[in-house]
Amino acid sequence: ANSVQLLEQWLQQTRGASAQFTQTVSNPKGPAQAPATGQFAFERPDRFRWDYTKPYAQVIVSDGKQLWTYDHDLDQVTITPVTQAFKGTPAAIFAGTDLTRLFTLQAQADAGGLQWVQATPKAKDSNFDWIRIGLRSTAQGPEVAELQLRDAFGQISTMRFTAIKHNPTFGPDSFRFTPPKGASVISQP
Amino acid sequence: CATPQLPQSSEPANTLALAGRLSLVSGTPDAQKALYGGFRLVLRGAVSGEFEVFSPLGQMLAKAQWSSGQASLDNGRQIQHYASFDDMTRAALGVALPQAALQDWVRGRPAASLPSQTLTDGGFEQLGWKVQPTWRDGQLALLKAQRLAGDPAELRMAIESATTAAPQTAP
Repeated sequence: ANSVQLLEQWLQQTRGASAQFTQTVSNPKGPAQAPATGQFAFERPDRFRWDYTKPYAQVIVSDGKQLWTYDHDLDQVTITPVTQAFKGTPAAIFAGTDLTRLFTLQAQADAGGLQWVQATPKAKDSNFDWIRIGLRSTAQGPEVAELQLRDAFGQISTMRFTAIKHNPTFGPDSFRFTPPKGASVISQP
Repeated sequence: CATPQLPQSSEPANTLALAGRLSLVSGTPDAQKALYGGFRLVLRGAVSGEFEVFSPLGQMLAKAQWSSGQASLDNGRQIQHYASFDDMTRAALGVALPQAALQDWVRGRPAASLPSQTLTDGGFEQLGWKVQPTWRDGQLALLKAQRLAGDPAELRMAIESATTAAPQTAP
């Protein structure tokens, strides 16, 4: 299967997944940010969470209705409508709602032992140039092992996933977020 | 209100580079605007600098640059120009951040050339803002600045790294 077919297989066979991630950001014009690590999970169609643990504690949770962003040091929670979370962001890849409506998909050359698809947003006002999705075939079916996103400034953020679990059973609270006591909570209309 | 004049420092400007995360909340509770993300702030003396804002997932969202008499804001697709730092921050953030004092506040101290009042809790008031630095192992770890007059606004900065570079002397 070419990479676009592999992506379509992944979309059909995957209801959700959990993994550890490492995020690195390369900036052609200046110092990059420090690498960040943490846990990632998602469950179609609209629930996901990024739990950053290093170098700082930050939680981003979509419960399907609202997007909760918590920063431990700032002791602050920002709540925004979940629709903004999916409008042309990497989360849209995991939501899996018809990708071809939001992106133009092109097969890329294999690299790093992965098969690659480039997703270029169709929206003209998108704040990134493209997302590249690195897939591989496994005994449990295809999996997304890496995501790259080039933003409008030419910076490339890379997310590498390890310890990937396919279609795990998530508990009822897996994608729920309760602000810690004392944190300031800002909800945006 | 008249914008306080910037101190004309005679000694060559050194450069301060900060990185971390920030949140800026403005407006009354029923119509609040919140900006949250990573930042990189470079200040060259009192009058020029640059400021980059990143999404929580590391994507650069905006880059601001300013020097005396001009400021610009780039969102990666187009660049908008402004007459001053204050105009730019008001347009971009909804809040005019006081440039005259910013380079000192992010060092955890009031601007020496402007009136200020030290508070018992280690903070200080200046230019209508209450500023609360939090130190860890002698380093400024967190800065909270709340505007006391006018529309409510609160800036919070978690500072992960701070480096100072001496000015580039001519060879």
